[in-house]
Amino acid sequence: MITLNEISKVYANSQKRAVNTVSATIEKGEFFVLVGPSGCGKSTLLRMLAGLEDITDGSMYIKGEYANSLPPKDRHLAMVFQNYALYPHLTVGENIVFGLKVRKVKKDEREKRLKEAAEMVGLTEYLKVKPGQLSGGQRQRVALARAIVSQTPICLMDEPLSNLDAKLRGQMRIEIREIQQRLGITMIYVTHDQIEAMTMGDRIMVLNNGEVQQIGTPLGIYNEPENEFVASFIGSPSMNIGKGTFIDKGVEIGDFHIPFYSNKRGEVKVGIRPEHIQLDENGQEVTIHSVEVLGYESIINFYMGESVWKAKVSSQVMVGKGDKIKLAFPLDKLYYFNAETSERILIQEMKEMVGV
Amino acid sequence: MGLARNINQEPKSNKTSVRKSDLKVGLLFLAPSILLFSVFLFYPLVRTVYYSFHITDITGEQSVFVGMENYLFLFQDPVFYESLKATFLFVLYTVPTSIGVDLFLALLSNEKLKGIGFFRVIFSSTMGISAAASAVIWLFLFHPSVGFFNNVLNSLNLPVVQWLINPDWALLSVSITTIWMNLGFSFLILLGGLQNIDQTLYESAAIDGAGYFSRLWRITLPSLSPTLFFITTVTLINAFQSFGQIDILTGGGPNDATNLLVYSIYKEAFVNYHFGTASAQAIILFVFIFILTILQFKFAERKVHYQ
Repeated sequence: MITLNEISKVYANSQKRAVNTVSATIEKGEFFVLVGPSGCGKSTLLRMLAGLEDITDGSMYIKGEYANSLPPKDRHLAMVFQNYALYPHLTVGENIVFGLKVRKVKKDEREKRLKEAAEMVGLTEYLKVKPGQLSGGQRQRVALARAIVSQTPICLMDEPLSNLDAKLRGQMRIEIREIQQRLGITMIYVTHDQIEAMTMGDRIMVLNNGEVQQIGTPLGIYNEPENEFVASFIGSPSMNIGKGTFIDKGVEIGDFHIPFYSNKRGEVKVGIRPEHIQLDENGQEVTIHSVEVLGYESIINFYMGESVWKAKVSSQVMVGKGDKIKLAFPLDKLYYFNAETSERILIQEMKEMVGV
Repeated sequence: MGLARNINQEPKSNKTSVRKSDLKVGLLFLAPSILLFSVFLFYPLVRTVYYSFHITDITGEQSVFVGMENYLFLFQDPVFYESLKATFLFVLYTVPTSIGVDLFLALLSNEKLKGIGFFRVIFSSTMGISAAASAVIWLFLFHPSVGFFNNVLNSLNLPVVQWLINPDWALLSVSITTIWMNLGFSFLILLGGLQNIDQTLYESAAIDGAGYFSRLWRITLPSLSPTLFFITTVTLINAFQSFGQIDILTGGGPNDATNLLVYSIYKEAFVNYHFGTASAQAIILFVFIFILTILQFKFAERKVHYQ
């Protein structure tokens, strides 16, 4: 559906590449999420897809057609903006059919599509109201309806849920996903929220500093992060990563020793996800920094050498600062990263579960 | 809790006392404005109404109460009708043209082009020039023999125009000067209004396929309508009250062709010392502006979209 071939963007008056040689292929009907921290170039990439920004280098194809210089209106796509971009002087209904009017769609057809879309997003009662009188969630729905009535095969969304409260965000995640699947739209969705990326995306592209870090399915990225950035960005709380040194029979991080046979030497970074650390009587003793009890689970912050690591365990842990607790670090859940390049090192040697 | 119970027990007396103290505080906040307005607006207004019912002597003291006579006299005076006609023509020439030209320039300089800052400064610069200074500049431009305009006409072998001396041209010339004088202020306000419009609205419209004029008509003008409304009201009132440029350019002449209401008031009061009729004219002007502003709010504001 969309092919990006080494796309780059350099803004005028800037040396830095806001987007750096990004390549990807987005399939028809796919929910494709661009995720990364703010300033990583994800919105710029989306705006290049929409035709709102020029492409400095590389080529873009939409449905096989060379699209670098195609004006936005000829790309046959809809876009939902972060601030929704609703016209304050038009009613909700007029806002929704604005694009259809501009494209000179017949009135009957407009009315029909408006009715369908309004029903789909639950706005039927609000069609005569101005956007100023709506709540954030309702405005979001107007923006969504506007994308729906356009019946374009591609829809771009730029952080559409970032202005909503947590509860509404959870609800809209499901609704957007459902509408996308029902209509078979190819969705390209920008977010900085890794939970949105994980829950909504068919595939995720993780970006940092304008460069692609990894493209893959949510679970693929979660289970097999290709570098330290992806490992720490995806997952909440984020992965614990510490500096270690290869020694004769394993790796050492501060006072901790990870036993395995390796002939490697030098520095290495070792990571483990908080949810993979377990409470275990036979485990390694650690000192508590603090505990956050969330009800059904607890997050234990403990000292690992100089730094504080997190462990997420599914019980209500009642310990305080300075207490000792025993934790197990399953060897097969450890990740190793090259200390210089931060690329992942695959090490197969560990099989049994041993306390670090 | 104590407070809540009090309110429950005696809700009425409490409410009125709260309202009373609110009024006091409110008046306190308004006091500086009320004081200034009283001294410089309300008192003169009342005095003007008072004077308009009297005939004054040469020193400006009211001497005889004449009731409505000043008004009756004015409405039988052909000079006053000429003055009214000139005023309305002047408003008609200057207000729509000013707004049209300013909107056009503001739209132009709202484009993201290289060196646009230079033009923005140029276009808004007339705001920094006083009415007297601009009038003098234009006095030279309009000069019958050495003025710029007649030089241009001469070099094109066209007949020269007596810009400020010919009664058929004088009002137009003064109008052109006024439009130029209005430029800076309206331009700046309109440009500010344009820059306040959310860019994503245009981006969204571009994706929908709206062209430049469609965007102008469907997004820019509606979004700009509060600004346009403000500018229209201010320009209209300013046009009715124009004085400086007329005093310097034509002195109300030739043959009363540019004797606009405010200038006529000035002449009646401070040249002829007829404070009574001058005050009556001032009241009539006040009523005209008042009615026009009400009409404008009633009809034009319907098309204004506040955010």
